[in-house]
Parts: sequence; structure tokens; C-alpha cells
Amino acid sequence: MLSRRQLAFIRSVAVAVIGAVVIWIGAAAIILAIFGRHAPAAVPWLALAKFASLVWAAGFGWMVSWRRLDEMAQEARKASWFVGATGAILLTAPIMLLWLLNGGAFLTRLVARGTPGAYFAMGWFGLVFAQLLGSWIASAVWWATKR
Amino acid sequence: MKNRLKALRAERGWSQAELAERLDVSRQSVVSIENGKYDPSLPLAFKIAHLFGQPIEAIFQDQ
Repeated sequence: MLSRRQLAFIRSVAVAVIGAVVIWIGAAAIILAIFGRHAPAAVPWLALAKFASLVWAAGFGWMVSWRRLDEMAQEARKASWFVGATGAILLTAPIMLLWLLNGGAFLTRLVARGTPGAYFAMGWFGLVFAQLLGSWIASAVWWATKR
Repeated sequence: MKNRLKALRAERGWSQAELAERLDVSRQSVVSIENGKYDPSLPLAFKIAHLFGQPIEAIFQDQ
């Protein structure tokens, strides 16, 4: 049987996800009603609506789920982010060195047909992925030492 | 830090999950505190002390 704490956590996640869907569908319906179905002017507004729903899901989900965690879990998150995320940044720093050494030629060859948008996304997601991976590893180690 | 949490819980016949529910923490936290792997914050230590009706120093001892 689920504990009160687990139920509250599931409720928070559900509110975050449902809220995001409602924001996205609601905003998209309003935007399409104003601009019409295939109007190019609607595109940036639709992107903004998507972004707003993501911000809601991430912001609400993160803040509420943080409050639902008990002190030990909060301690684990803090330690994991500090150790894992900073560790990931340091470990991925050699990529910057590659870029500095030859003006990015190596990276350009690696993704030969990349667009500026793709490079930007790759950089952002790469950093996020490295930090998440680092913090997950640090979290697993932290919990293993507390058993 | 050493503590008598396991013994106090056993005296009352509570499971770890039951104690966790009463303290509003996860069962993992109770396990770690009982094993001396995690030292609770002062507010949680006071909560534990109130729950068992004993002063903090009667439950937690410095090693």
C-alpha cells in the first residue's frame, strides 16, 4: 500500500502533467482560433505555448516534488547535484579544449551537416544530459552509503 | 551518532513503515537513522523525541 508521502508525490506529478497538457491544448486552441489553422504567424505563438507548458511542468513538478521529499531525500538531491553536476561539467571540459585547439574543426567534422540550431541544441542537451547522468550516479552512490 | 530508535520502535511494536508514517518521512530514512548512517536534523530529532516522549539526549548519543 502506498504511504501518504508517496500518494502526495504521485498527486503532484499528475497535477504537473495535466496542467502542462491543459496549458498546451488550451493555448493552442486559442492561437489557432485567432490565426487560423495554417497561418505562419501562429508558429512562434504555438512554440511559446509549448514552452509555457514545459515551464509549468518543470517548475511546478520540481518545486512541489521538492517540498514533498523528506529531509534525507532533500539532502541526497543537494549532494547529488553538487557532486554529480559539477563533476559532469569538469569531466566534459575536455570537449571545450578540443574546440579551442583547432577552432571547432573536429566537432564540425563530427556533425558534418549540422545547422547552427542543431549545434545549439546539441550543446544545451549535452550539458543537461551530462549533468543529469552525473547527478544520478552521485545519487546512487549517496544512497548506497546510507543503507 | 548512536541512537536507540530501533529499540524504542520495537518496544511499541511498530514497523519501520509505521514509524516513518508517524514521523512523515520515508521508510528509507528510518532505516538509515536506525543504522546510524544518517543523522537527522534537529527538527526531526525533536519530532522523534516527542513521539517517544523522551528527551533527545536519551535517544541520541554522541559516539
